[in-house]
Amino acid sequence: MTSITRTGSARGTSTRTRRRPIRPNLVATHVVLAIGLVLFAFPFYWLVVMATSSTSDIFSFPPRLIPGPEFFNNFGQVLANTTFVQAFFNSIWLTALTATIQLFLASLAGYVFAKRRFPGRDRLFGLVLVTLVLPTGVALVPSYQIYAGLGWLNSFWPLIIPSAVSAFGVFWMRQAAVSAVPDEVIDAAAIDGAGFLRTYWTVVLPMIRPSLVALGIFQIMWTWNDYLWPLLVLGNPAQYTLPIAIQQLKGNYGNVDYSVVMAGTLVATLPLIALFLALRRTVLDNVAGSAVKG
Amino acid sequence: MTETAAVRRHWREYLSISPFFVLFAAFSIVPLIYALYLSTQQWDGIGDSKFVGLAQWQRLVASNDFWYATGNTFLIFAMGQIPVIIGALIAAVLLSQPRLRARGLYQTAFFLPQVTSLVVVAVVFQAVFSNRFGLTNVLLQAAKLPTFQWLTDPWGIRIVIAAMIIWRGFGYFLLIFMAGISAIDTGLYEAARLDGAGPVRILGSITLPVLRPTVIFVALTGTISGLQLFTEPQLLFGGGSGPDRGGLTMMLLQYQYLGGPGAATAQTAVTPDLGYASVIGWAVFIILLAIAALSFRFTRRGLED
Repeated sequence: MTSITRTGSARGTSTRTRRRPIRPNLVATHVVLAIGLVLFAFPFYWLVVMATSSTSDIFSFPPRLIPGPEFFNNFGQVLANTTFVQAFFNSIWLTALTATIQLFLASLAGYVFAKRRFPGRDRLFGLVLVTLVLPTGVALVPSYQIYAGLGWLNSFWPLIIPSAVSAFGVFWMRQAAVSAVPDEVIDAAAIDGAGFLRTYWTVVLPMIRPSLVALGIFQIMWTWNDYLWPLLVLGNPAQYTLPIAIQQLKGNYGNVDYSVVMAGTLVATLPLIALFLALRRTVLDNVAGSAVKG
Repeated sequence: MTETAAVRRHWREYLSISPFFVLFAAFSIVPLIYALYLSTQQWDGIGDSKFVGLAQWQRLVASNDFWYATGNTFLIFAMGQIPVIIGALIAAVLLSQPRLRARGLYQTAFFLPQVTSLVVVAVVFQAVFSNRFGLTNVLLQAAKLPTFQWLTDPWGIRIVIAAMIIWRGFGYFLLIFMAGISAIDTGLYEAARLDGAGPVRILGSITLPVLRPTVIFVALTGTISGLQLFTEPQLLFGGGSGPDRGGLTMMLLQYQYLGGPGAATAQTAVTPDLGYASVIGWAVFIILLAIAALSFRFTRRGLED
C-alpha cells in the first residue's frame, strides 16, 4: 500500500527528470540487478542442466552447458527407486497435515488473543512473545530420548505433534485478527446469537484469509524442507521424507550415477517452486511481517 | 473464588490457547530440564549410564572441540551473514527506486532460493564446487587460472557453506529491507530533495538511519537460527566435519556425540556420549539465549501494538 502511494507521488513531483528519455542511473541499476539475477538463477539452471544430461556428459571436459535430452531416462531411474516415490507421497501428506493443524490451532488461538476478553490474557500473550525469541529446540538429546520414551521413534509423530502450533503461528494470526477483524463485526455476530466457534468459523476465518494463506505457505516450506528431525527419527526407508530420500539417493548413486541424483533433486524442488510462483504476491507481501520468525 | 468462576466461564478461551502452552511445556521446557539431568551422566546410548557429576561440563570448558566448533560456526556464519546483509541493503535501495521496471521479476528471482530445500542447495553447490569436475574449477582451468580444492580445503569448505547461506538468505533480507524503505515517510525525501541533497546524501542521511533498527533486529533474529548451522556441513560430509574439521559447527558436533546417522563412519568420528551431547545442547542454548535477549529489546518495540 505505502509503496504504491510513494511511487505515485514521486511520479507526480518529478516531472523535471521525466522529460529525459534515457535515465543513466536506471540503466546502471538494471545492469547491476541483472548480474545479480543471473548469479542467483544459475544454481537452478545448473540443476536443470545436470538433471537432463547423462552422468558422462556431466563429468566430461569441457562439461555440457545446456540442458540435454536425458531427463526422462534419469527420471525413470529415480522412479525405479521405490524409496524416492514413497518419500514424495510421505512429504505431500505430512506437509498437508502439519499445515492444516498449524492453521487451525494458530488461527483459533490468534482469534482468542485478539478478540476475546478473559483474565490473564495479556500476560499469557506476553509469554507467547517471549517463547517466540527463545532458542529452544537446540537440545537434541533430551528431545530424542523423550520421543523414544513415548515410543515415537520410527514414526511421524515427532514431526507432527511438537510443532503442531508454533509461537510464530499464534503471533501471526493474532496480528491478522487485530488488523483485519473490526470489533463491531464480532459484536454484531454476538447480537445475532453466534456462539464462540461459530463466530470463529464463519466470521473471523474468512476475514483473515490472506494471512492464513501466507502462514500456510511458510509452514509448507518448513515441513517440506525439514531435515534434522526426519533424519534422526525416521529409520525405516518406507517413512523417508524427500530431503532424507535425496540424501539417500546421493549416498547410493552419488559416485555412480550423478545425473539420477540431480533428476530426483529437481523433481523434489518443483512442487514448492510451482506453489510459490502461483501464490507469489501473497508470499512476497507477507514476508516482511514474518521478520520476527528469525 | 471469583477467579475460579471467571476461569470456568471462559473455559473455551483457555481451551483454545492451551495447545500451544501444553506443547511448549512438553517439548521445549521439559527437554531442557531433562537435559540438565542427562548432563550429569556418561552414556553411550546403548549400555548403562553412569553418574559423573559435573565432569561433562568440565570437559566442555576444557575441550578444544566445542570451542573450535563455536568459533568455526561464528566464522562461517559471519562469512555468509555480513555479505548477505550488505548485498541485500544495496539491492533493496536499487529496487526501491520509483519507476523501476521488472521489480516483481527481480524480487521473485531473488526470493526463489528461499523456497528451496537446504538439501537441494547442498547437492547443487557440491556439484558446482566439486574438486575435479565442478564448474568453478572447470572455469578456472579454462581461464588458465589455478584451480582450488573447494571441498577438501578448510577455507574452501567455509567459503562454499557461506555461499549457500548467501544464496538462500538474500531474498528474505531483501524483502524485509524493501518493506522498511517503503515505510519511510516520502515527505522526508521530498524535503531533502528540495534542500538540494543528492541520492547518495539521501541514502546516508535518511534511508540508512531509518533502516538501522530493522537491520539490527533482522540481523540478530537471523543470527539465532543462523548459528544453528547444521544441514549444509552434515550433507557435504555425510555426518563428518570435513578435512581439518573445516565444516564443524556446534549443532553438528552435538549430532555427532548423539551418534546420528553417518556420524560414526566419518573420518573425524567421535565416541557417542549422550551426556556430553546434552551439555553441548545447553551451551548452545545459553549462547543463543544471550543473543535472543539482545534482540528481544528490539522485538518488544516492534511487536507490541
